[in-house]
Amino acid sequence: MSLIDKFLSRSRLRSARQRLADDSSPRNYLALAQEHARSGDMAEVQRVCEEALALHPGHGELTRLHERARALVNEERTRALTRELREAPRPGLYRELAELFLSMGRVERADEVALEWFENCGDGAAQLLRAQARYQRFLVDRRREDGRLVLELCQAAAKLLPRDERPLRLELELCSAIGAWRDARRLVSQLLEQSPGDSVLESRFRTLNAMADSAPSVDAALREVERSGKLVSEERNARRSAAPTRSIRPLLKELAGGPGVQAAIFERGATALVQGPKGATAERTARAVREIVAKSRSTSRRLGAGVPQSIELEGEFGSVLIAPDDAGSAALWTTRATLTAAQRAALAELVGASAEIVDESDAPSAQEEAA
Amino acid sequence: MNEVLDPLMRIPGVRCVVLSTPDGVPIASAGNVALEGAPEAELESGRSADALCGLVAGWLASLGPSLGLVAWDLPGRIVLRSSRGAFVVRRGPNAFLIAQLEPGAQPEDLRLPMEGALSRLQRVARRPRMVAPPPALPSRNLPTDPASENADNDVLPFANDFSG
Repeated sequence: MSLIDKFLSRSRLRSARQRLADDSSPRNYLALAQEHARSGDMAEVQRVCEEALALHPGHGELTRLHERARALVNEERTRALTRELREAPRPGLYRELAELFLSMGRVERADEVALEWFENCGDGAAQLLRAQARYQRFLVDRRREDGRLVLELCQAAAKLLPRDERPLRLELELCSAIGAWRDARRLVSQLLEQSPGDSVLESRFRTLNAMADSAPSVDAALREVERSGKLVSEERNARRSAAPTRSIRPLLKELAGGPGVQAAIFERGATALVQGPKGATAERTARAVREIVAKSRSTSRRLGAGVPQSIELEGEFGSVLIAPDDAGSAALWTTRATLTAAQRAALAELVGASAEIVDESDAPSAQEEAA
Repeated sequence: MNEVLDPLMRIPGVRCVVLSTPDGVPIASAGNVALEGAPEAELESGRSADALCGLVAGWLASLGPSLGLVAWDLPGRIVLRSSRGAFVVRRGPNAFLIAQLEPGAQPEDLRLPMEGALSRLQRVARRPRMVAPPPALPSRNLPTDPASENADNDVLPFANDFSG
């Protein structure tokens, strides 16, 4: 940046700050953040966006800018760390780089860096980081193999870090997520040996003690999670949050009223709202959609593609679009060869609305079924 | 075969294209067939195409009974969009064309090219063999043997299965 540019930039920043002082609207925050971005100061962009988001939470443009600035800062730091590691590798740099990749959601790279760290330094923390990376991946893919690897890596880390609670806590988190209560109890008792008298752990031990008798083994629990694609806590939430609510119904009716629409379906757990077909046909259609979602989930995981976001089927029957989601799946069947963009958007909105309802926990507990 | 599959690889976001038999045996592939993170692909390196075709064939076969509940036939085009990319499967008369897409790529961009590729594949399958080397020994097949009836215009293993 030339001297003149620097001077102009400083004056623009001053006036942007002044406008923000007069009126702390999202637009003025955006203007200031963009001025900082223009001058290449991404850390300052991030700071301004954070300040703005504290005042205007959930503002779309500010959130996007914040994300972009953070990504740029992270990328810059990643490059610097990689360069430094090439020149003079040391555990601190490996740790920072692996943690950075993990925070950016680049699980594979985090795992690679942690593996390199372990091979070069034999550090237990490297094994723990690999376990954390694999656990992130397990949460996304629900693969048995990932779960097993998390446990192995945690155990390896625990051997190398005998007084560290973190490997045990991570293993406990996994066992609790998959419902392997017996192993969870064993881990809590190990943790209690390290921190005797911890009241939270003691009460957890008592709870787990009651659940441990009928609990499956780790292997069986992992197999069940891989088959169903659901963690134990999610299954509980799905049972608790129950039914598609009244606010889903108008959206569904609107969707079913479109041209050529044969059926609009929303499902959550064992309950389904079906607009279009009646009686047994409605029931069969809902069951077909549920089965397609379950089979596609399992295939997507086995293909290494992660969580399925939509499934489209086109044939002589017309076209079907299914939007699976943890909060419930929505499906639309039309006789037309393809679905319109508006129909796709409406289906996404339906699934989004159901997710919001689950998040807000305002779903009534009574189950209702419409056919 | 590559002359048909390669144009699909030129579409942005397409990671690989595989032609498979309906029972999951790969016939031809283009691009980098890699199922990162798939358990089946980790069993043996270099067998991703087999794993991909097998998994897709298994998936489609498993959908059959569910679709039967509502008397839907097996779909001609199936798109599975996931967090790490998308899979587009176009079912031909006796082969599947499978495309794996990068995250963010649009399956709709492949609609027409895949249709075109399937049509071309059928044309290739129907094309008579240009120069057939004479057999070293007289054939033992009887003239009534169905395999020998089509032997002269058989280019691909599945060629005779393509209808008109």
